Amino acid sequence: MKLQKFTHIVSIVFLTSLLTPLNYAQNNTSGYLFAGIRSTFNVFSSDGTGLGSGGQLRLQLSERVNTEWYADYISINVQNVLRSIYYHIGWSVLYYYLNKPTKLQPYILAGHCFDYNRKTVIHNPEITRSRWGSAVQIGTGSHLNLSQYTDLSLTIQYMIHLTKELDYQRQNGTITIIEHSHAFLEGHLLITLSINYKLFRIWQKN
Amino acid sequence: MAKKLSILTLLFSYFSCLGQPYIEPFLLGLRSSISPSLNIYDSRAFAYLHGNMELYIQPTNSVLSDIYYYLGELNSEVGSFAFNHALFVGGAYHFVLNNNDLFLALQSGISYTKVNPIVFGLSSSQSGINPLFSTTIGYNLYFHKFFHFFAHVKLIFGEHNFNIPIKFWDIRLSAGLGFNLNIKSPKNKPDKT
Repeated sequence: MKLQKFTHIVSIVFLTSLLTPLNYAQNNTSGYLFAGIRSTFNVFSSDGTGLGSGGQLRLQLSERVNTEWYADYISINVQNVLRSIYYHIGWSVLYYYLNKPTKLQPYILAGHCFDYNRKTVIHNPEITRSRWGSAVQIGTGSHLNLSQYTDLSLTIQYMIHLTKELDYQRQNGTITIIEHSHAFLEGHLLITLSINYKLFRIWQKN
Repeated sequence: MAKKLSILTLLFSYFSCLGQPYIEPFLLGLRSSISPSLNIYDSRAFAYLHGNMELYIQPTNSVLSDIYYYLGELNSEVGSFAFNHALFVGGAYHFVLNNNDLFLALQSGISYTKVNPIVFGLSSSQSGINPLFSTTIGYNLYFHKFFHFFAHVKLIFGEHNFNIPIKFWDIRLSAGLGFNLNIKSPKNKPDKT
C-alpha cells in the first residue's frame, strides 16, 4: 500500500516536471533548423507490420508552428509472400497547442507526401510491380526536450494513400501482383520515433 | 584472474574520480572492436568488425553512429549470409558521474545483406537494403585525456526480405579501449544546461 502511494507520488512529480515550462530560453524559437534520424513502425495496414528508417529536417516558422520535411524507407514482409517497399518523401505542419514550451511538448500534425511502392515476390524476385502515388497524413505526437539542443519525438499518424493499391493473388499455385481497379481510403498507421538536433538559426525574429 | 580484473576496474574507477572531468561538450569518442552477436530468434551467431563514433553535444547528450562489417557466422562452417553489413545513426542520453558514463541510445539503421545461395538451395541470391532499429545500453569509463574503456550491448530489430525472409533480433556485444579527443577549444563551448 505504501509502495503504491510512493509510486503515485513519483509519477505525479515526474509528470509535473515534464509539463513545467523550460528553464532555458526557448520562447523565441522561430527560424531554427533541426536535423533528425527517424525509425517508423508500420502497423494496421493490409500489408502487415513493417519497419522503416529515414531522416528529417525541421524548420520552425513561429512559436506555435513547426514544419517537418522527411524521407522514409519502409520494408514490410507480407505474409512471407511479398516484400513491400515504400519510399515516402513529404512534409508535415506541427501545431503546438500548449501556451509555453515544456519538457514534454505535445502537438497535432497534418501533411502530405509522395510515395512509391514496389511489391516483389520474395521467393521469385522476377515477379514485381510498382506504382507511384500521393498520400495525406494526420496525427499527434510530442517532443521530449532533452536539452536546448536535442529532442526525442514520438509521432502517431494515419497516412491515407490517394492511389490504386497493389495486391497479390494466388491462382493454381502461381502468384501474380495486381493493381486494384479504383483508389480507396486505405493506408497505414505510422508510429515514428525520432531524435533531432538543433543545427543553426536561419532567421531571427526582431 | 577475476580478482585481478575487479581490482584493476576499481583502480581505474578511483583514478577516474580523482582526475579532471573529460566528458564535456564536443568530446569525440572513437571505438573499434570485434563484435560477436546472437540472433535470439533463430540462435544464429555472427561476428562483426565494429566501428563506433560518438560526439557529445553536452555531457548528457550525444550523436552516436555505428558501422558493422560482417566477418562470418560463428556456429556454422558455411555462413547463411554472403554479407550482412550495417550502419546506424542516432542519439544517446548519458547518466554521468565524474568520468563514469552510463548511457541509453536509440538508433535508426540500415543493413546491406545477401544470403548465401548454397545454404538455401538457390541458384543465385539478391542483395538488398533493410531498415533496422536498435537500442543500446553502454558504459564508458574515461580515465585519460585520450583514452577510455567501453562496454556496449546493442539490441537490433529488422528483417531481411530478399529471396528468404530472415528476422534480425540480434544482441551484439562490443568492449575494449576507446580513443577520445575534445575537438573544440574551451572558450567556444556551449553552456552545459
